[in-house]
Amino acid sequence: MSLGRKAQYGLRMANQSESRSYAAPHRVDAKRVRHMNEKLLARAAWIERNVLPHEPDIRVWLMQHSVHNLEINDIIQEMYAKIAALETFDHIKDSKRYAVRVAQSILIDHVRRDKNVSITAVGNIEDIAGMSADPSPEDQAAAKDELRQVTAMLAELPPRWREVLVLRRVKGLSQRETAQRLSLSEKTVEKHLARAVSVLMDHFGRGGKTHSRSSDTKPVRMSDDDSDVTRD
Amino acid sequence: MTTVMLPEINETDRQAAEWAAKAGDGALPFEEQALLDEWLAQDERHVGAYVKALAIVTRIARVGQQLDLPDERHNRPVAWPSRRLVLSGSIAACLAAAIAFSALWSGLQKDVYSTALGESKIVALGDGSKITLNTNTRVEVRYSNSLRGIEIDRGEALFDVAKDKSKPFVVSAGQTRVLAVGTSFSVRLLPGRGLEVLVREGVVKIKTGEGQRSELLKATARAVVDHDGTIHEESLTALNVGRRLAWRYGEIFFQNKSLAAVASEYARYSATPIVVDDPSVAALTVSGLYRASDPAGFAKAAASSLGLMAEIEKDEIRIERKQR
Repeated sequence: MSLGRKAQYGLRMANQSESRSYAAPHRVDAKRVRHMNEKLLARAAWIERNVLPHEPDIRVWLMQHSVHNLEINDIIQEMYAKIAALETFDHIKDSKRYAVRVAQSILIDHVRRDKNVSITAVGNIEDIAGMSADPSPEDQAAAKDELRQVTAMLAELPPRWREVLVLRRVKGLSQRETAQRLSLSEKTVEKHLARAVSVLMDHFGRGGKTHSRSSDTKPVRMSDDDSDVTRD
Repeated sequence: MTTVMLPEINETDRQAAEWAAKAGDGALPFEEQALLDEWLAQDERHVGAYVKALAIVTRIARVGQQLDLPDERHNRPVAWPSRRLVLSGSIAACLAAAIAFSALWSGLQKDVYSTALGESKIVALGDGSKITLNTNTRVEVRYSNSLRGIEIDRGEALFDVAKDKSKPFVVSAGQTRVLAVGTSFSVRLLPGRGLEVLVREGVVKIKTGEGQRSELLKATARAVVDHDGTIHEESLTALNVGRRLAWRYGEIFFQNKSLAAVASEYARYSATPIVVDDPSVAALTVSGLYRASDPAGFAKAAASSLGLMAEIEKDEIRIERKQR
């Protein structure tokens, strides 16, 4: 028992020194350069609320207009980049319409620049604007169901990835605290977090589950202790 | 071992997720930051994917706060030496888990979830079931190896139960038990009367006490269980059940409800009472869908459609006849 307490005391000390170096990211530190990163973090907060929810609809539109030799993922990524590059969002009244316009202009640019890219337009290219005219009832329901959606998406993640994600980003634990709590190495914590985020990038982009689309998913055997990683 | 379907991740998205995992705190060591800057400068798509990854982390952090994911409770000093044991012992439970935290220590102790007046909350349980708590509600969750036990001692909650035939899901309220295997139903305590059960999907079994008969209730039906154990059943349309559960979206639906009944319904959600002094006014009826959090908005709308007057004071809202 006394051994246990000592071990606990040692852990506490480690946690305290940890919190000085990790848990106070806003402290000014000459050795840390973060202008670009900080700007993007600030943009991400707006984009989370105003663009991310519309990505599934924009993808559907892009798929309907079957673009040859151009990856839909590329257009989506460029769309996020263009919006993140804006100095201010104050002028944007209808964020969905705006995001759609950006995706549309990227598409048109590609068609003009690159002879290999062509569009099989099912309808007039302008109808993308019509699509965005008003928030559909589904959009409104989706906003209401934000909690449900996040719950469902978390539920689909492998348990270990989800644990790491929640401890790191919801509970705000540092990487080391998370590693200690779950008896994992810090490297493993970072890896789990990255994987969880990458899977969610796909899920949020499509607006839901992946396993209904068997063509672009593959089953992955997961063990809870992930044999490719070391425990400490 | 669990098999999880995972999507093929676009390479740029994968790298972006790695950077977001590293840099999501807003600060990176100098060398890492240089590498990130270089990667971002290589291609506009890298910037886009990275911003999206950051947006997703932001969403999880923001929405996750409202989800009330149970915190680890075993970081007390005495618990530390045995923590590994606790973890490895619960791996089996963890495999079936949807939200891992509540599952890790499920069966070991109860979890209590509650909401204040006007608040609502979704609780994700370890087995994939969900509880949606309406205003002023308190539930206790006790999961064991053979039973998923819930006790509701205040308010109203909707239970979306994940299918598991080996572990019945049982909601207890006083003497009454509502049993389900995989279904969706709500239980509401009616102070001074008993309780109300609404079945949205599937079937539940209601037992009103030891040695009492049990009653099956199918979707889409409503039952009121009196204190003496009498069960009154009524079958509803799916639309009607949905309307009665509109509180999930912060709304209340009234169909030909007297202003008196509406006032008592709003009292469940808000500390500011709707006061209707005139009995002839209190008997007037309204229909419609209203925001649960906005009794003043309701009062104004009702007053204007009934030719009445709504007075919005700081500590009460009065609906009365227009003075001439």
